[in-house]
Amino acid sequence: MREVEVAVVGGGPAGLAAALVLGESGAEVVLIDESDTLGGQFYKQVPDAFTIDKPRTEGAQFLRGAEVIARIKATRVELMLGTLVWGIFDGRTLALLREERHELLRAKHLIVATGAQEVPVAFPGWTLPGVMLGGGAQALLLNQRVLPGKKVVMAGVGPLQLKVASQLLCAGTEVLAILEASATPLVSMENALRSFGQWRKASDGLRYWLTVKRAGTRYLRQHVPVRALGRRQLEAVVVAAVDERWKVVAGTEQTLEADTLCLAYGFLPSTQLVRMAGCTMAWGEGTEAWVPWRDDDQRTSVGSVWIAGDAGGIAGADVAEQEGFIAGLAVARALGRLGPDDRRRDEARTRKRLAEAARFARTVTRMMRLEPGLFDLITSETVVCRCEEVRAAEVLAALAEGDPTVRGVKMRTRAGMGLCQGRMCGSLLARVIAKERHVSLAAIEPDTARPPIKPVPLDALAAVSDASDLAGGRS
Amino acid sequence: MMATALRLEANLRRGRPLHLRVDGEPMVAYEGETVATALMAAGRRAFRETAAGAEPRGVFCGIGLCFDCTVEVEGRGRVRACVTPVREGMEVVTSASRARAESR
Repeated sequence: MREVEVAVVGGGPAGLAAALVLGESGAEVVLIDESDTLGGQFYKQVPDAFTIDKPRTEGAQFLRGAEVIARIKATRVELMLGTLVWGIFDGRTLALLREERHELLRAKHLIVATGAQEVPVAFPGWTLPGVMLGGGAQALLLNQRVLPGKKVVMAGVGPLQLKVASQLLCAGTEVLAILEASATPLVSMENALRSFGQWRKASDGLRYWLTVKRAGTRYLRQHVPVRALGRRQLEAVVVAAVDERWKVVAGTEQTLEADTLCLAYGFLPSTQLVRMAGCTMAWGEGTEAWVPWRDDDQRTSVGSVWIAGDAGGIAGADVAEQEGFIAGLAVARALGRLGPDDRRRDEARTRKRLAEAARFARTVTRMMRLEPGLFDLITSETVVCRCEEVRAAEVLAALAEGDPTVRGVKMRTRAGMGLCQGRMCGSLLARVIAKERHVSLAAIEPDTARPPIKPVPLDALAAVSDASDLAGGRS
Repeated sequence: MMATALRLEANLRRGRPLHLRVDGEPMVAYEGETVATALMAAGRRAFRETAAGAEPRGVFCGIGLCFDCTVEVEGRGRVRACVTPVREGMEVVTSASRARAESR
């Protein structure tokens, strides 16, 4: 089995920053990403086969990403792209799948920088083609440079959707309406987001707002989509006004004809790998999800596993980048590649910036907190688990039978046993269970994470079970 | 034509043209694109039908997490359209098209 000093999983802002400081220290680093293109969901680079004519005219995020990636490529960091990490054993050994071939990689230290996923929100019709997550629509637009649709309704919370709407409009899509669930005034969102690593300049927010205004897009505050309509694909969205707790106000429904509905209700940390590694988890206030416990150097309760970025709690790209640097630096010191006094000034500067960025991130996550009324849109006939087609009524029936945990519901209904391994329904199940039991979301423990975290061919699993030295890690 | 209208051209050159067959019909896509991009640029939204309810599904998360946009690729089985790059000569089958053909 191949051994390296450090494996960094995830090529977004956190992973790139960690790999960069480690690479500069002379450590032996492998940077792994499932995509063929570095940068992750924040830097949104285009595939290598695409050529941007004038990079300078692309946005600040794109340019920053391109700059960091160029710096990484100038180091001796080994890039393992198009590579899925589907399992972690004994806190050090990664099971990889690359070009349909499996391999194992043992690392002295592992930095998990797997980022976030978007929050799925269920309501009648949300499985129709044309209903998609906002970041996914943005990925189509910015990574792939294809329009996700022609007539778009945006729905969500917080100012990110204003940005996505503006990008869609600039690309030539019609954006009929932006449904903002909260009552937060735009100006507070703008101020908070500027420091979230999203809006580099004070004028950006204003520019997005002007684009949206000029296009005639309706901005409907305290509105949510309540139903998606269509036979084979989305044809219309029924929207309604909501109160402070996001409960639908009766008699306010209106129908908007659209082929695309983008849902932008925030993010959840991608914690499959740290959970599988056995890291101690704690409830993340603000993030509204379970996150790995870590010390000031980003080290988790499993000594060989370090965490950086949104996978450790939703805080945005700026925090991610600083945490990546801190984790990378600490690992370089642990390996003896850097002495305890090396790069102290860089560290002090990074920690100061991290503290500031984290403070603003808390403001933003508070602003993006989802109110419970949103989940009242789920009717008994609404599909909760998209993979296994489990409806809310079946989940409620399973709860009535006993064992009111995510795991219990999974065993009874198959919800969460499909190909996505509960990534889409896990948080929805937790919401439904918390509501039924009249407890807070923090009282609902996450399901255990087991390999493979994404489906892999059977021979890959067989190869790992053959490696007898891993037996201890499989319990 | 829709196929060109949905692809953005500004400040960008795509990779070389590649020839695939989708449900037996020829389709041109460009190196660097995913199967989902090729299908969506051709105006296709439903990529498959669910096993139990025969409900249409397409791109949902867009970043390879939800497994809703899976299609059949000859020689590879079911893959996620949104993270699978197109290749020259690729044969793609969507079950949504099969359902359409049967209902005719």
